[in-house]
Amino acid sequence: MTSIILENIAKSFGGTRVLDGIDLAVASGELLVIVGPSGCGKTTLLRLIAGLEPITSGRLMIGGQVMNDIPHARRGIAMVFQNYALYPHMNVRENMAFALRVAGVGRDRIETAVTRAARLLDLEDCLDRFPRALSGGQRQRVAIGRAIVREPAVFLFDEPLSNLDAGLRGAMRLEIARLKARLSDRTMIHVTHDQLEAMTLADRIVVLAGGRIAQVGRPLDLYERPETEFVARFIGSPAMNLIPATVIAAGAVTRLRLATAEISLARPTPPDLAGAEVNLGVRPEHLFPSGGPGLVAGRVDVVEALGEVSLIHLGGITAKLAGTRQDLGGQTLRLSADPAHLHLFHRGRSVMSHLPLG
Amino acid sequence: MPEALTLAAATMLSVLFTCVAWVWGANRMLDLIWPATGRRAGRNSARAGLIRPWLFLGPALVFMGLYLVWPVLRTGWLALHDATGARFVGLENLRWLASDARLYEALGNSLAWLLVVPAVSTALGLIAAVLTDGLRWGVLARAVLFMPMAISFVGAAVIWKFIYAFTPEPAPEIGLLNALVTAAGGAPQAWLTRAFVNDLALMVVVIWMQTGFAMVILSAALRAVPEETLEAARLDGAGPWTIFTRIQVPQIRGTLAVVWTAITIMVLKLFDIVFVMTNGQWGTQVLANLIYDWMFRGSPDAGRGAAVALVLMALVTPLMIWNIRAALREERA
Amino acid sequence: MSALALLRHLAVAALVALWLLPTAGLLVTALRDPGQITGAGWWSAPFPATVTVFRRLAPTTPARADGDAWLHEGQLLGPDETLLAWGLSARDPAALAPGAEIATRAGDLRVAANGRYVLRSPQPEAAPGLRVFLRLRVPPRFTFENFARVIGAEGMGRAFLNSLMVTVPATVLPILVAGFAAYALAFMRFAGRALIVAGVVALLVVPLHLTLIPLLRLHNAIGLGKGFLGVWLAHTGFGLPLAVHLLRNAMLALPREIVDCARLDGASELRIFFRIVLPLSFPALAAFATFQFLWVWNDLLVALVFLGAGPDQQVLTGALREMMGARGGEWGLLAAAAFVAMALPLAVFFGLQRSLVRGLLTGAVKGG
Repeated sequence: MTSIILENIAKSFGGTRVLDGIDLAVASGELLVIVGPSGCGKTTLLRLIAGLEPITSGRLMIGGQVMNDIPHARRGIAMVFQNYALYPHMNVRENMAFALRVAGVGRDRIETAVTRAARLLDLEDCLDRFPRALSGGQRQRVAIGRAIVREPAVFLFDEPLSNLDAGLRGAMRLEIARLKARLSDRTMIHVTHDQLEAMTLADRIVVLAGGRIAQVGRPLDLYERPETEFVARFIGSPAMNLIPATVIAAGAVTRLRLATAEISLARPTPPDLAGAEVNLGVRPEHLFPSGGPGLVAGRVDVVEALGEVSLIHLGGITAKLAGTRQDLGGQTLRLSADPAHLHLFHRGRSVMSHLPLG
Repeated sequence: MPEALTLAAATMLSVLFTCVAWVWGANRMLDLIWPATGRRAGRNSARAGLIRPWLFLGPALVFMGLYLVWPVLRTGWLALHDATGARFVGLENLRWLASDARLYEALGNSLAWLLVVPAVSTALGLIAAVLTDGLRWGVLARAVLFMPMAISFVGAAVIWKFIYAFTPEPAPEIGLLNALVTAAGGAPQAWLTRAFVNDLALMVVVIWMQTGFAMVILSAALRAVPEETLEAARLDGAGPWTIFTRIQVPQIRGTLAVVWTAITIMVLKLFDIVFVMTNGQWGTQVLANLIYDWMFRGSPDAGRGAAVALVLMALVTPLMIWNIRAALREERA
Repeated sequence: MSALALLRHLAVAALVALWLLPTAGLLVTALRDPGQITGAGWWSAPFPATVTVFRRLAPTTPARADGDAWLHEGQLLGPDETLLAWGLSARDPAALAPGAEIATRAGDLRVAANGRYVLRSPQPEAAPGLRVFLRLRVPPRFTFENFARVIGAEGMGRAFLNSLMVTVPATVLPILVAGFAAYALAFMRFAGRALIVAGVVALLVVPLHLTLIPLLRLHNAIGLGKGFLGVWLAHTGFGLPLAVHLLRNAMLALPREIVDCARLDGASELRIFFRIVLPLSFPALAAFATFQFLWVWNDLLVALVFLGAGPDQQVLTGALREMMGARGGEWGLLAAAAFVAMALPLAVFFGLQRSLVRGLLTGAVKGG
């Protein structure tokens, strides 16, 4: 009932186009996360949906109704802002009650709604405090509480966790996950630049790059089957390695020439790719030392031991190996990977079909 | 007095009430004419959104239009008319102005003021800002330097006229300046009636009043200079003077310009001090006082007064344009 | 303390002294005995002063017979006064030393150092009207006499009330009018906004001289004439550009998301203005009010043009200026009058200095 549909949405500020050709359908009750580097237009997209910015062209539908010109108040949307945007001159109770009071809701019902939200978010002790007397985490919970009391059909979160320190961020992430579980019938759109947040919270992720949608999919889809080099490197940490290669033969079997060796992959590529310069993508966690020629070879420059894993750097390539591997420092190493975990990119786009997901 | 009090209360209440009633009522009207509900909700709210800002702007635009924009244009029109504004005389007033010795005296003085006062006030303000920064009693010192800001030009005129007071000998000098001069063995002077010296004497008063303004703004600007840049320079071996001229001043150049312009505009419009202390006699005439003379003194001539006023407007215009461009640049950013 | 630091303290002290002296001199003068002001500069006010006065002989006891003559005795000095010299003519008021004797038309007069005099006269009644000039050393004397006179007889008290009468409405009126406009310019999006912003900035520097004649004629034409109502409206109009500019800058400094959030909460623009933006802009409102108060209180030009010159309308600046003309040499009165005019703005200044500074930094730059 409260699905959100964006059709060919574009947005310009002055002469600058910040969003272009956005087509997106958010199912009712879904938690969609929009990720992308800073400046990719993700906050603007959220503000368009909320009605805080006019849409330059395209169509926005919420719950089956065209919403382009409908004022914000009638869209049934609540938004949680990055800087919380609490009303500094009102205490927590008044902050949460404001929207209901505007809507003319009776005193008793406001009181009930505020108390319920406060209990849900563990804010009962600070209802009479002012925002300046709250910790960052509490402010964020008040901002969420303010959204909850309105019982909106759609929640918009604009980087709600990025002003919190790392420890608190983890706790609040869980809190949002719990909230989503409890309000499973509400549609939520969550904007972040933190891929960890995206991977853990999302039903589906939208990756935005340069004002366009790079890829939409379930979190593991994006991790395992990135359609572009951008998505491949944006999702996953450390970022996917790209190894330059030349295609010797394309078709049902792909042959590549690398700096170290030539390899064959039993996965199809477009036949006209033969002779092209491509990038072979492989994630650091999929590399392992091997006796054979491998995919890359070189002297280990730096070993970053993180305890649980070690990051091995050799000539611009990073490998993530289990355990503490400081013994590898300065050694010459050959690294190899399971062919199922290899990706191939030509001009930024994936050109090798992925294996069916297991 | 009681009637006046009633009038004051009634005026305040009625203007405030009218203003609120207008904005509230007009907003309601908009919501009634184009309700944001129903089938045409989108189009209606878009239309109401076009008009709503002007409801908020309305009262202010009416006031500013009636009390600033219209009279300025009207004065331009008056400049083309005779003394009473009855007969159109074309460029007659401007032609007369071009050969009027008093205009050139006023222009010359205004030029001298423009060269001296903004520069000295800004420089003194900068020095005061630097010297008092971080001083334990700096707050107190700044309050003292800033204090003349609260005094009227007329009050300042009394204060300084007393400094410049002149008593012919043999009675003792009670003006501080002449007392100092006589103590040093000189002869007391009537400072305000000696050409050129009196200009300087008046400028000192305005500098005394404006330095605090410059200091306050520059002091804030200096404090906004990132401490790290100063520390980096100190680590690079720069001395206090180098740090001041090479690190601090370049970073507050914009603020210096703002202060300079503000004082320049103030000086161009300078009226009270000259009007009260010398009334433009003994070679101290300035534009604003000349305008007042023509408009309200002796046998007033609105046409000529307006013509001189246009000269003042012409001098202010470049600064006005500079201000507008700065504002527009900010608006776009 | 290093030599450089010491130099810095000295330089600041010199600046402070230079800025304080003129005002301090006037304050001392306002509090001095009017008779002493012209005798010596204000800087010698704490020390005894030498003054020349004349007094008439007024014997305190009936005359005593002394042979064929009568002795008239009395006291010429007040308490704390010391006689330096005396004389009988204005031309040479210090011709005689204390204790000397001189023949006058009324008889032989001797004035002792302690001020007691003896007039040896042929008649039992003292000649009336005999003047004696005295050069005296008198102790410093401070008094509120000057203030009492300017507030009462010189009409500064009434002028003070008139100034208050002009200033309060002229400070209150622009605030709400400007608040609405600043809100639209800060938070609403519409075509022509940049133009209006530019216009406001332009009006900020328009010389008021250009508006005077048309406005005065307008006021006369609509029957407003010269009076408080006209001056309130004029000051409101003249103050608006600064008010709009300052409030808008302050509103732009508020987190935008707060207004966005209130809009999503369903609040109307009017409610956002009154419930959210206006309370949060309070510091800027206070800053503008402080500015406008000082500006209107200290204004001379607008009052000269839009108010009548009678005592029922004249404000402090106008009254003070008039006194400068009429009582040019009477520094005690002038000084006291100046301080009556300066008292309230100085109190406001020292009370609200922080608000004033904030206002300046929000972009308040204005002249007449």
